[in-house]
Amino acid sequence: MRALTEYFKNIYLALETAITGMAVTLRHQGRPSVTFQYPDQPRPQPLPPRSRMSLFMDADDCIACMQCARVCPVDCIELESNKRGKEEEVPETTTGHKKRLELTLFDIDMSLCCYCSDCTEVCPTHCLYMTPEFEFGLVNDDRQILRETSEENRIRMQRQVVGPDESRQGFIYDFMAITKHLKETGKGVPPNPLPETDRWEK
Amino acid sequence: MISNVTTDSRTGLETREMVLNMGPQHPSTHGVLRLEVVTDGELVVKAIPHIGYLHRCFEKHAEALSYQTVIPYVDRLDYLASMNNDLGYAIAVETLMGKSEKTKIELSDRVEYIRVVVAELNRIASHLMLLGTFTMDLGAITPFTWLFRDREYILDLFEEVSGARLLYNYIRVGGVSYDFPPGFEKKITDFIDETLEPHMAECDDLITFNKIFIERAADVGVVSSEEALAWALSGPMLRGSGVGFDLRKDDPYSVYDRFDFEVAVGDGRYGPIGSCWDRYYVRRLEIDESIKIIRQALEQMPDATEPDEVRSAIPKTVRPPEGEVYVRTENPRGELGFFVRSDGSANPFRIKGRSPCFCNLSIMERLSEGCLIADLITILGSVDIVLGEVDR
Amino acid sequence: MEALATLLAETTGLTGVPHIVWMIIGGLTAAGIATAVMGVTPLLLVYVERKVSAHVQDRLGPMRTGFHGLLQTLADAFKLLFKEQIEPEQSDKLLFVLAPGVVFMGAFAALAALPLGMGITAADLNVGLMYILAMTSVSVVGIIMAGWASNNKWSLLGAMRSAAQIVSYEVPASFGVLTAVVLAGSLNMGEISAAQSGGIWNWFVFQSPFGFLAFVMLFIAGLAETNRVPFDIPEAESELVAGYHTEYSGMRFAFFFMAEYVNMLIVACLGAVLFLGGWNGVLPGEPVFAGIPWLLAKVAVLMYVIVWLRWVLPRLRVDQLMTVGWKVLVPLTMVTVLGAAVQVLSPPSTQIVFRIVAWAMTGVVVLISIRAWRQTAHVPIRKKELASRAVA
Repeated sequence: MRALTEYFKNIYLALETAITGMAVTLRHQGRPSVTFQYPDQPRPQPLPPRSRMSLFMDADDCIACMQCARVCPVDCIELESNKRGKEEEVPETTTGHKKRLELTLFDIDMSLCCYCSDCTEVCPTHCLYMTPEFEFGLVNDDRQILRETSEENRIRMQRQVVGPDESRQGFIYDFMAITKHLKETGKGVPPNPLPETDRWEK
Repeated sequence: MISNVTTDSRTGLETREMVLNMGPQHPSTHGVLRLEVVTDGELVVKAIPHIGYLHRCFEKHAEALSYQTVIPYVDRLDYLASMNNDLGYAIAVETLMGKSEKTKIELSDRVEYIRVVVAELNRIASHLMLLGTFTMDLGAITPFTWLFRDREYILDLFEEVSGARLLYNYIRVGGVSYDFPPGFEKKITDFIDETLEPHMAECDDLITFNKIFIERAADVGVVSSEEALAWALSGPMLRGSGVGFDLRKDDPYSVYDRFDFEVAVGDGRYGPIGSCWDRYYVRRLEIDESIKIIRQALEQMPDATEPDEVRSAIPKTVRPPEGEVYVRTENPRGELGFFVRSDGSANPFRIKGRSPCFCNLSIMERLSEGCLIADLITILGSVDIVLGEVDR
Repeated sequence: MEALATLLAETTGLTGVPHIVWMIIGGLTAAGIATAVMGVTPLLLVYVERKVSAHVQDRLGPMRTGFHGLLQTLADAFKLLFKEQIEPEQSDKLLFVLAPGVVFMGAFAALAALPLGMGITAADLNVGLMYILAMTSVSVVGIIMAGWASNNKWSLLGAMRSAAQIVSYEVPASFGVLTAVVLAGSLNMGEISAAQSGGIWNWFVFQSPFGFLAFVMLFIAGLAETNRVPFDIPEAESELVAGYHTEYSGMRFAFFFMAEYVNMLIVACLGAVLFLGGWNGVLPGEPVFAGIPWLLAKVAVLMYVIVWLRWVLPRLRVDQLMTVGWKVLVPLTMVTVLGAAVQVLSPPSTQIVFRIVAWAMTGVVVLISIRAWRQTAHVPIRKKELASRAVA
């Protein structure tokens, strides 16, 4: 007898839980969608300022202290600098640090970079920072995907720039060239989005 | 692997067992795990896991880095629960530094509470992922999308506090890298009250007590409590078998002894204790417990007394005294242990990660004897492996 | 077809043309309509399925091709037409090529006996029902051919499972159909529909409790016949990649696809005609437009429920599937057949008792549904709030 009641109870439970599931899914069918159609509709809210989407460096503010290259977990920063002569004038950065060394090479291999932002934390002049910009598709202003890109587009979109050593192909960002190009063409460098309270002070 | 050939005595027909390869690429072996399955028709005779496809020599790499720069590597061990990995490693190094008065680190209360809040939020995110993928392996696709949406809310919260969505590099040796932004506590409580709890109730309505789901999961992959202890299982796998051992209660670290929460234990209400359904339900209940802990932590958390309090205890260079330490913490998947040996320099001499998934996966071969192929998928899903941790 | 022939003869007014010519033209027209149905139904159904699944999962579904994605399936059909049809090297070439055709033919041929409205059937056979059941069973041969010829262990497993499943569920499906036959007294689809005329209380679901039970069971058995959730083990994505049609691409895959959706249409049509009154309307009297809108509406509701169920339930394991088929559905459908026979042989004065019991059963189901609806009211959703929370 018990087996018979078990049998019918199982059938009843199966149908009842199925109906409960149907009720839940029916409720969801009337709700507005939680997705939006990117890229036709823009993202409703911008990314928070701490977001680590892309790395940027303002080469004019670099004092070549090598802290970033030292702390990088994957060794993707290549930095070379020259000592200035005794009689040369020592320029200053926007933050008041003296640029005793002259920067000659600053390359970051973005294919190695793991976006941990350790390098941005140790930079004393805050010239190396991460920005929330993530839309790097190679498109022009009309949102057409470009197949052949000019050198200018490459620099503008921070894409494949061949460094001084041509054998090192890859996503090597030559930040000195990038900064120079952005400032000369008037497009301006992206600003450091971190508020003062969040920055690491040494 | 040569499969057995049996000859039927009456008819003289030869039958051979089939060797199937659920290879590194398969829709439901959560990562690059290769299962060599020997089957007799639909019945599995043996399922041998082959791992190592994601081995990245983390422990060897760590010997060349300084202690703080190991943190991005530790993130990538169990990439679904990064905060818990960071926490375990940070506590290990801090314990080692605490062995000498010169290098001792005093953490402020606020830092400890922040660490607990983010670790528990990450536990919720990791369990949401498991609930979604486990039910998807069983055929119910809707809970996967709903639960992943809730997980996205948590990842957005993490993006606000640390800058990244999955691999945070947030908990450092001696503190955390950023304080909570203004208004963050309210965002967390709003999220839990208005989104997470109603959605978990909906998930219960849809799938947790669904008769078909119970039929699929409640008789399968039964691990008795003696077996669970003998095979060194930990985490929800152990608690699903009825053993109420949780490191946050039995060997508390950080400030976990200040919170009032229960340890979710499988009770075998729909089948034998220790089935896949019990382990699923334990993880479902752990989400509720984590919510309790987060609420208590947010209430008890003191305000920041000075502007950069959360970073003030981070030493300039981490140089622990000579010695070794083993510290274990409760990962969403079990007992994550870090053995750190230092020789007094700025680089660790040896770091070993005791991975919970590696030990939990060892029971796979035993559990798969005599089950059907569909059950194999269920069992694998309920073990909740993350290959980054298994292979390190 | 008679009616169509006379219709053609009268409208054109041409005398002297032998009746056989009108019959042939009528038959060809009906066959053309069937082909059109065969082509259009999958188009519509795939779109409906994608949109329903999207709305259940809180997302949008196809939106780009055409207005709100209406042309999506056309785009998919074009893609499949132009795709390369890959054949595995070691496959059994003849069987591999024939299999989709056999499966397609089974579904297509069954369309001939389905009615579209009062008097509108391509082939108004006296044994229409038996013909439909027989033709849908032909697909099993095609499935086994596909699984064997693919030279793929996974496909073979899927084909074996599917064959076992379809053959097992033929029995309760046939018994369910038999209940309606007993209640109506004829195997002819048209006559069964006519026996339910006279208002909604004359539909077999409401006329007899055994009709109600048989409808539910025919629906479940029909789900199993067409390999839909919760019985879609042969196509279990997470286990066997795609089951017996893994190795097919291009138009051959499209044939399997179309056959599955037309099978769904056949099951929905059977349910509507046999138990829900066919082309009869809710009120007594002659239905408008020969009942075509009524029949289409009922079929549409049933197909919507079939699509909806896919996103609610997890799938059953093979042995549980067999248990449900043989141990639950077969005895219960036998009971319904016997009960229907008892009802038909009872004196007319007792018929009212049967009707009351049937209405009571309907009431119980409605009460359960209302309770389920109220129980799942967890999230108070205000539209604007959810939209603004789309990215938290």
